[in-house]
Amino acid sequence: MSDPLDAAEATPRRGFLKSLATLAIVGTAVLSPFAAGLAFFLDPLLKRREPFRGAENGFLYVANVSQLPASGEPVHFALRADRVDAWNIFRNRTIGSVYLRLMGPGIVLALNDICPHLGCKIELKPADKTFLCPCHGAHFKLDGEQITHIAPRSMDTLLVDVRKDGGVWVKYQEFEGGKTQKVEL
Amino acid sequence: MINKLSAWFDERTGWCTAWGRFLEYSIPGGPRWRYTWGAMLAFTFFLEAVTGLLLWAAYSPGTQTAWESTFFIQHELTLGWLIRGVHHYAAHTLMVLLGLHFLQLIVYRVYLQPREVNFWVGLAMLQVVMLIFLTGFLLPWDQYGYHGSVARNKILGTAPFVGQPALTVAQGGKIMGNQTLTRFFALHAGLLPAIAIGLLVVYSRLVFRHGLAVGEKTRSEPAVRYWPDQALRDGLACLGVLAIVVGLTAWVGAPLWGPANNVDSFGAARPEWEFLFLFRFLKMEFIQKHGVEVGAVYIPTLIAGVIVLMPFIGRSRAGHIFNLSFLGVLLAGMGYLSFIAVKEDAADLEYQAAYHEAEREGHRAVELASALGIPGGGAMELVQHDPLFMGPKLFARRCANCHRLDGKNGLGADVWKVTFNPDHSKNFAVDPATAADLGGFGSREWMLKVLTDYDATFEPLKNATHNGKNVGERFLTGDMASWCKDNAEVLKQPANAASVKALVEFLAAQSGRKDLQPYDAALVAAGREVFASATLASGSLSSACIDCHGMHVAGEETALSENSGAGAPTLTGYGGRKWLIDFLKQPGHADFYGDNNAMPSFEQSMSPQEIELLVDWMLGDYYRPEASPSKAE
Ligand code: FES
Repeated sequence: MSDPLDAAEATPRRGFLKSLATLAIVGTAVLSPFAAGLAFFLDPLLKRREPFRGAENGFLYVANVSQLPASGEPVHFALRADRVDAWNIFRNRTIGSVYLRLMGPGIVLALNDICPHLGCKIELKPADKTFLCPCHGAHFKLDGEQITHIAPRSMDTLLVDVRKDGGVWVKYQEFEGGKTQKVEL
Repeated sequence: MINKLSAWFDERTGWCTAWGRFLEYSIPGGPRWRYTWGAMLAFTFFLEAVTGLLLWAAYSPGTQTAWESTFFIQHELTLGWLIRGVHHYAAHTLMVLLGLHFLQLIVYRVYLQPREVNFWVGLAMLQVVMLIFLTGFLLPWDQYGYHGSVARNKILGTAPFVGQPALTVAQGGKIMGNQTLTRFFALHAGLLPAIAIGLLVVYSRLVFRHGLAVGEKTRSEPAVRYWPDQALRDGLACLGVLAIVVGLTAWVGAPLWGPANNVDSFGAARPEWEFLFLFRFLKMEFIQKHGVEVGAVYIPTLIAGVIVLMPFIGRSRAGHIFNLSFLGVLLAGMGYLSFIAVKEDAADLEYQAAYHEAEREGHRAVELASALGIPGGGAMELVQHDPLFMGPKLFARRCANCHRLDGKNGLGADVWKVTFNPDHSKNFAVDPATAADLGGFGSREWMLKVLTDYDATFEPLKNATHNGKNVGERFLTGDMASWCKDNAEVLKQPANAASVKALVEFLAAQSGRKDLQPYDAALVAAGREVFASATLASGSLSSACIDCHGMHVAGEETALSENSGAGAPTLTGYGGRKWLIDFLKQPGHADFYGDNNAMPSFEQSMSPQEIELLVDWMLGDYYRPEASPSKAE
């Protein structure tokens, strides 16, 4: 009998090639969705999407220096821009908030209020002249330096540009939580 | 006939035989309550699957639909509260049952040869269920889920090398948003349950392969069929689980907090109680020294490593004792940490206040959504335009530094001076007010109090300082204060009660506030006379109101009086919307306190919309549910 299957069996080399081809074909069929799927799934790593729009060279207007007390007491300000969230854009939304402190004439310190520990929002405790995070109790001085070591680093300072008209512009950035180094997200 | 049918069917599927074999399965030593654990676990899992699929049919992941659809499930859909409640509490039950199950396995040394793989598969299942549990809590996109997840996700991010990329992939970006919900939902309802079911199949195969793990003594006792004695016990145990879960749903209900707000601080952020120990663990002194990842990643991994090795360690008697002690220390530690976390929170007045505020916001959000419906922009759009939702928060943040509202901060909490002790505990000293208590501002009672009890109304001003100088005294010694002192007797004479009442009515009417209506027209007219002429029923006032205050009654052509400009506020529209808005913007304007002013201007530090929300709330102008007998929940 000359059944093709038997023939294949008969010549080991042809049989081997056939198995190999079969494996390749089945493998391609089965694995290709996974390959494409992996790229699809890892999109957040492959494409960087800006979390907001409307900054001038990365800087956002926050306040006027005249709003900051000469005593150096920090004041909390919300930053507004167009928040981009996947398919949505929200016009003129609060995208983050900062504490501003007047350190000297025309010198402003900007601290991101996101806790460098695990990301809760830090609160100002005026009576104690400190900052406190309500989550695990990370405690900071008014210049952002840590008092306890619950958070791995001090509060994150942001770049500030004080313009001629007294406008305080801040480069808003967020950083990875729980790390000793300040790594931008 | 039935027999024939089943025989036909069995020949083609083998199912009847398998079912029979299952029922015939003999249990060494007879039925035990202890053996119901597997059934309870399977049943709870089944409950989760059924309710989960139902919720799936109603839930919509997305930052403007997640809270909204969860609200709809909880408060609108038929039996939605039940389905969601069961899903919620069965999840907690599953965690507890799984935890206890592992305790049993270790205590009774069930992991010994040849059941090591059972044990590991079980551990893997525990991990997967835990992930399902954690991803699930984000899905309502409410305050608790959101803020809990922020911290949890950042913990994931601290893992070495892979942490941050894994976090970015899981969140679908650097920060949480729409893609976080779609991805967490896919994990929670799709991928992770599929893995869990796969593991469950492997696990039950292994259990059947090795049979029930029983001691020598039990093995020597006669075996009894599964059906019906053990089946009955299993059934009762499952019914017990159902009763507990439904009971909790009916009495407590699955919580739905306010919609996630990533803008403000959320002082009530805590993990689910099962993980409270981890939360407290991260505050420990030595974790502080070595970094978050040590407490959140390395130590848990180490502990998990020991547990994985337990089947080998537990072979010898000494090893078994080690396993038991390890477990004992672990449990005691978890218990202790949870306990102090609760204790510390109970002593933390700020936490308590934050918790109550979270509850208040949650209730108001649901109330608004139920009554008014949710706009396309989502529930945040709804609550952020609601004076009752926003007003008290704004008052607490902006006004309560100096003012009080009925002695509190507007949110019902005291205003504290908080200081910290070296052990990180807090001291709370009630902070004295430095400006008037605004409880009832603009009401008739308020007007009367200002006129007849000026000193008490403005007494807190004696504490008001600015740059070390007292700025409040002048209000207590100024013209109005002396006028009130001079006229106190006349004003309090019983014969003048009607005149005073009329003056108050006239003043109150200036605001045009809806919630004070109706105004008594006759009284208003009489009060106008008093205001202008200073004549009372018996005697007269030392000077008339118009001598100092400007007043232009709404709708009249000419003003009654012009403002004297000497720091006596214009009373045109006094206490009304426009008056208050203008006042908040520039209290030092010549129309208001002028040079006497001690209050900061809010023109720049608050947005126009914020000022309006605050004012509308103070004027009682917001949606109120009909004063019907409050419908349950
Ligand atoms: S997030 Fe701030 S202390 Fe943990």
